[in-house]
Amino acid sequence: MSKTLNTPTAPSPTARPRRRFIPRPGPQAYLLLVFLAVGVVGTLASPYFLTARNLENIAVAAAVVAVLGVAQFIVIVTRGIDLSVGSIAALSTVIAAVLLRQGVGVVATIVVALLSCALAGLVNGVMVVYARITPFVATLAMMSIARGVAFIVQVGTLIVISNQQFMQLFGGRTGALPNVVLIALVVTLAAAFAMKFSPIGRRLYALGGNPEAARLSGLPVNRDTVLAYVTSGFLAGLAGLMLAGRLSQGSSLVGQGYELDSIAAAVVGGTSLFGGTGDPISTVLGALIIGMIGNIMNLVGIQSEPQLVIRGLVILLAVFLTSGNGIQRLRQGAAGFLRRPPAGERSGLMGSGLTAANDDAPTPSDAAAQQTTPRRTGH
Amino acid sequence: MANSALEVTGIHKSYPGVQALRGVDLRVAEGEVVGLCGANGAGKSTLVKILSGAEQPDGGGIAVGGEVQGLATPHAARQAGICTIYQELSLVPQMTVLDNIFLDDFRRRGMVVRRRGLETVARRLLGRLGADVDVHTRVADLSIAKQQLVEIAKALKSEPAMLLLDEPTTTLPPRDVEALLSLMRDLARDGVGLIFISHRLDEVTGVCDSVEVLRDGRKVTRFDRPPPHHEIVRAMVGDRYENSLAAAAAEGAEGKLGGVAQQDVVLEVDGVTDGARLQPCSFQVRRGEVLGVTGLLGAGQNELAECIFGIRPVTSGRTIVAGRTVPPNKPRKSIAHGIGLIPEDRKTQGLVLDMSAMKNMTLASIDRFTSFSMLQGRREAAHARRFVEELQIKCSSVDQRVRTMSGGNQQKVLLARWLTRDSRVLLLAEPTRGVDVAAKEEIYRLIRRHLRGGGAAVVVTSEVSEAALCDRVLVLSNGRIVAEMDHDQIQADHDGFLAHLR
Repeated sequence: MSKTLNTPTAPSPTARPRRRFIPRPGPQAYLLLVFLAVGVVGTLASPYFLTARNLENIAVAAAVVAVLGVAQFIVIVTRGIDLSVGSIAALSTVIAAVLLRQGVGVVATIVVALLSCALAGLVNGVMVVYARITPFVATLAMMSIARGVAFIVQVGTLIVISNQQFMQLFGGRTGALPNVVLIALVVTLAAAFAMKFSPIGRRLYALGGNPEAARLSGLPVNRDTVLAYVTSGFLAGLAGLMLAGRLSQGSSLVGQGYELDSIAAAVVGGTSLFGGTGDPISTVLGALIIGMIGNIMNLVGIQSEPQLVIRGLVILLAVFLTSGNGIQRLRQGAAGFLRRPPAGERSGLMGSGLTAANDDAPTPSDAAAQQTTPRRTGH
Repeated sequence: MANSALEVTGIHKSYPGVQALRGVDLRVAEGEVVGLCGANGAGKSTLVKILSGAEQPDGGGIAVGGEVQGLATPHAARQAGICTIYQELSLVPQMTVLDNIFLDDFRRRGMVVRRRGLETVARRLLGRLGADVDVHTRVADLSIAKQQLVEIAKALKSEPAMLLLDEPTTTLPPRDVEALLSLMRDLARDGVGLIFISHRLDEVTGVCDSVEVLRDGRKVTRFDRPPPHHEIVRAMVGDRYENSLAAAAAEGAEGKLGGVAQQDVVLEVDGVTDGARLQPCSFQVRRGEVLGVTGLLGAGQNELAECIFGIRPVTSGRTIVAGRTVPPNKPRKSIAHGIGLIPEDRKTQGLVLDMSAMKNMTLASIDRFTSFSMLQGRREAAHARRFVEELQIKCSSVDQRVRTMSGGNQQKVLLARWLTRDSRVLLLAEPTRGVDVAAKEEIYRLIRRHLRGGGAAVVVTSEVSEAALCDRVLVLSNGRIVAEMDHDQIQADHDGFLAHLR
């Protein structure tokens, strides 16, 4: 976890600013703070919250969203968005259920399901890169297509999965941990590692940060973008298999709204929709925070309608704190209020009006540059 | 003594890791033009940001027209009577000139847009600037020079007491620079106080009543009348003066960028054209040679560079590097063949602003720092640190984001990217634009280093004096190569050289 607290923006020891006594923590630190705060609230709200069984429930429920969140993150970091992850997950459950019913082996089933979903991702990527359709529209179309295909393949209502091997793999447990949690953990760590230490991770951050600069530096921008969508489709397929294992069925109706949950996880985790920032571990933390809040509200016995409202508010708050430099702004505002400065020297909330997210020393020209960038690089 | 339009006392400002301003005083009288000079990182931009309300000082006072003001926001600064023209324009390209001029002033529009009245005002403002612009044109369809005038018209509309011009002339062609400078004199005559920032010292000494020099966040010198250039340069660079070639050049010594050309041709451009603005262009560059390509703004020199690198579609012609033909229209292939581009606009085309200096340096050579599919972080950092030291890049560490670095240092990071890749041919588009004299010399030093290492360079520049430093110069006019002169010819016949610029 310390990796997330020391992401690239952290200054090296030799560079620590002299006049600051307490180093200012990065956005990820606030995320962890929110995570712990929600945990404390849960503990206070219900004695049942901190039991092993409940925590396991949270983890299992969050595992699917976590994997989808990672899939979403990989696309968002390239300035894209993938609205089709929920539908692709549903397609995956149906393909798996149909194949297993036909008596196809578990390994072959998994391979076929994942490859089909990766293919759907490939179509997304090709549409975005070569047909120049904006990611929102291209994946919106795929969202509809994938669910439609799932309906067609399924023929009729949901298909029950009775293959014990498959159920053991995606519904069982290894040691103390449910397998889905293990899978989510492995996916998260692998993605975090790849984003930080592999060339493809560096290239994705670069092309999300400034596509034009990446292209003019000779990076294979088109290929990498397609790869991001393929990976997203693949991971959505994996999430689908996890869902199938949990529900022991394949159905074209599952996973509705998961595309939005995955975006919420990424965004609560501090990922900017403008690309080039964030990291998988923070995204998964975001998924866990959302999952915990839902769990707490269930424990306390809040109706499902107010739950939606509260969840929305919490997402806003978390995003304000993590990516909007919220704490810093609140602190500035409070300082300005307490100090009551003389008329000649005012400061306060408005002073940071131009502050871009996560910016140490923003300049007006930077703000202008940020405004012009999308224009220049847009199709 | 005239009343002061602006009085700044003891301004302090620090950023994480940097003390940007350490107690700066500045006084501008009504009707006075004050030139503000300083190397990159001297604190000019910070001072401008504070005066324009974009940043808050840590301490000190600001008085406009004798009244103490807190400039909490850019809007408050405008209300107080300080208008700022930035180098990067802040216009909405999709909107018309008229809408842009009145973008920040809805009061005049009332509930119903009184177009006719606004048009008259807009026309008068533009007329005062000598700008021949139809108020109904979309800003995106205007040249940069005209956009600049629209920006100034927008500022003048509120009759400011103080006008800050932060490198307004950088992107203007010479004729429009003249017009702007004389306009500044007119405004001063009307009682407006002006602060003028420019890296071109002849402009500063030509238009200003007095010159203030900042160095390392302090005011070091105030000249009450424009001094000779070398005195300003001396004040700007301080101790580094003695070994600064810039200062030598300013005192009239002869500067030269190349001088180590060998026989073998590295880059051959054969009839390259984009089928539109650029006529077929052919030339050769030898190993160790630096070729200047110049022309007036929009003469086609940047288009030529873009065609060679593969950004701008080439309809016919070939580019050959070291005997191998480069597939056209693919920057990736151009890079693989050993061409590196320092683009004209480093912020949008060159740098990933939110990435660290290190990651920007190694961006074109990621494979070099990869083994077994993993980035070698330690090797990468060591390499970056060596370059930071060698190129004297000012940063708190190699992990500093380039967004927070000054223009000159950003440019060095870009140079480091191609030096890291060992590119044979460097294409440099306006390499020293928006960069101070000291950093300019640093960049020249790096180009020389590249040439001595057996590389070749093409410097595309609209600064005639910069082109004149090269071994050989091509002059473009209207998309055509109209002249080719070598260094000695230019030195012997400067007027003849300038005559080609049309």
